[in-house]
Amino acid sequence: MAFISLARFTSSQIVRSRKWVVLMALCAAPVALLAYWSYRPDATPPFTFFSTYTYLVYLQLMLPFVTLIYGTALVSEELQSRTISYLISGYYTRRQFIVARYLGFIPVTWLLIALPIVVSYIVIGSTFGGLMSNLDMLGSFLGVSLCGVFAYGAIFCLLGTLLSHPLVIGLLIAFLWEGVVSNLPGNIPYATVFYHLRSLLSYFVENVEFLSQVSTSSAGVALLMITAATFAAVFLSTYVFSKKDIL
Amino acid sequence: MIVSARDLSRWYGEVVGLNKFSVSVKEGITGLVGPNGAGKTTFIRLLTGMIRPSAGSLLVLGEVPFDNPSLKACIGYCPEHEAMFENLTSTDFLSWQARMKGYTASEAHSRARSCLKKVGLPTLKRPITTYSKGMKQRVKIAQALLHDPAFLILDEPFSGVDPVARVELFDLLSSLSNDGVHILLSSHVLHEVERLTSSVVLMNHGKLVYQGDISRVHQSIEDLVTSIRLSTPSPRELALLLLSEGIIDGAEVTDSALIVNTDVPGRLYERLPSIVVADGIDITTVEPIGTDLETIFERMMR
Repeated sequence: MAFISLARFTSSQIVRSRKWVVLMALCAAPVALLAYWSYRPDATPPFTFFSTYTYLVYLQLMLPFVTLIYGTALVSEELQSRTISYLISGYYTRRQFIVARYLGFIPVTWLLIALPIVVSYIVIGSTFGGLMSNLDMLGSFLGVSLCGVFAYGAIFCLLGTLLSHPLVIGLLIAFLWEGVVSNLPGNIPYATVFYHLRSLLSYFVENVEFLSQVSTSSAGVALLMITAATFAAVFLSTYVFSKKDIL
Repeated sequence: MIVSARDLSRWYGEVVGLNKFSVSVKEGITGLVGPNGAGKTTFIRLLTGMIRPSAGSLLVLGEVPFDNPSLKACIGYCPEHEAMFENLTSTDFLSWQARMKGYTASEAHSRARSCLKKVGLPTLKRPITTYSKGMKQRVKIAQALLHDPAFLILDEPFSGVDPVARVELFDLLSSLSNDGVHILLSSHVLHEVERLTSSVVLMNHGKLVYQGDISRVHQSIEDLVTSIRLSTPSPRELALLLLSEGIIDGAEVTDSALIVNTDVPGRLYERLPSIVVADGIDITTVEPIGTDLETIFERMMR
């Protein structure tokens, strides 16, 4: 009961914050551009445009950014504001505290990404047709973005547990490591989460323009790597927090 | 025994927070007194399981406090800092706190309301951020009472509280103690503690200076004059009143405060609430100044 209440409180805390409104506006902004584009169609088929746009805007840009903001805040923001003393007074262990915070973060953060993807899909589908025939594509994007929220959320939660000011290093991880390194040739991209998210996506969605030009692993390996990264980061977060001094 | 600490040490890098601190806290109310930087907050952080000792042992209600959920069920903690989830109303804040202590939503709501009533706060629909310092202090105390703890730890509970609210808090803590709740309260003002208990633990520079009855402390401070700063919009009227009653020996008047010297601070503290209520002079804060407490400790250590 106490554990679930902490998870629920975390969700409600995220939704109540001013940051939520700002990020919601930020995530919704590209939908307006999309609506504008839909009345000026060019040579690109509508759902090819949708998949490329969703891949670039939501998976490569918004997903790491939104998870960075909320994932790092799960612990570090409470430590800085000193409200952590109230949160850890609940009837759970420190390890359970981290898991509850993390689980509370997942649905509301995913909503920030999933909602504009769904709205974009509806805008394109209702304008050009094919609303019902491309549902599998929508499902693939939603599924991959959920995997991304799990993996990035865990990594940034670990960063927020380890560091008092995690945002700068988080930005480097989100956009330099995940954004740039994942696109390099060779084996190094294999160590990025985005490489595996991209691999997973390419298994389900065929018409993303950029995916045909980059290397990918199999869907099984990709899913395994994402799951392993998620569990490892959550486990390390719980370990670090279980030893941490709260000052 | 409520708390048992033996050779308890805690250092932060090269800074020593507690140094071979041994103390036994018994049932009832105990005052933890020391100047700023004495190690009171470090000791309280150890008691509430927020940090671990660098050396030595600590038992609270017979258990090691660090990361111990079953012990959390027996301890209520009111921190010194003002931080809270300030965009929530007090009822919502307390309800969430109660739910994190295992109560259902409806139980949590009714507990929140009853604890707010207990500390004398009405159920307000505005967020905590709009509350005065004294109201926030009461909310913090209310959250510590939500789960009917057997042991209440209060870090500087009277800080920033106006004289009338201070008396109400004294009454509340006395009543909780009469109901069997054990209380450890920290303060850097000896007279505040004295109004609630004769059992004190004095500490300074991370070490135990004295533990026992407050009467021995009195012998050391009889000839000390205390300086107290009273913030008020009517400092001249207040000075005249206190001088005419012989409670103070001297006063310095500023635009919004009165700094008084007195060798009977206890009498002054007792008189303040009636000055606010009966004489209509508003007093917003009461703040002892000077190094008198450190002088006391130096004398006690001789």
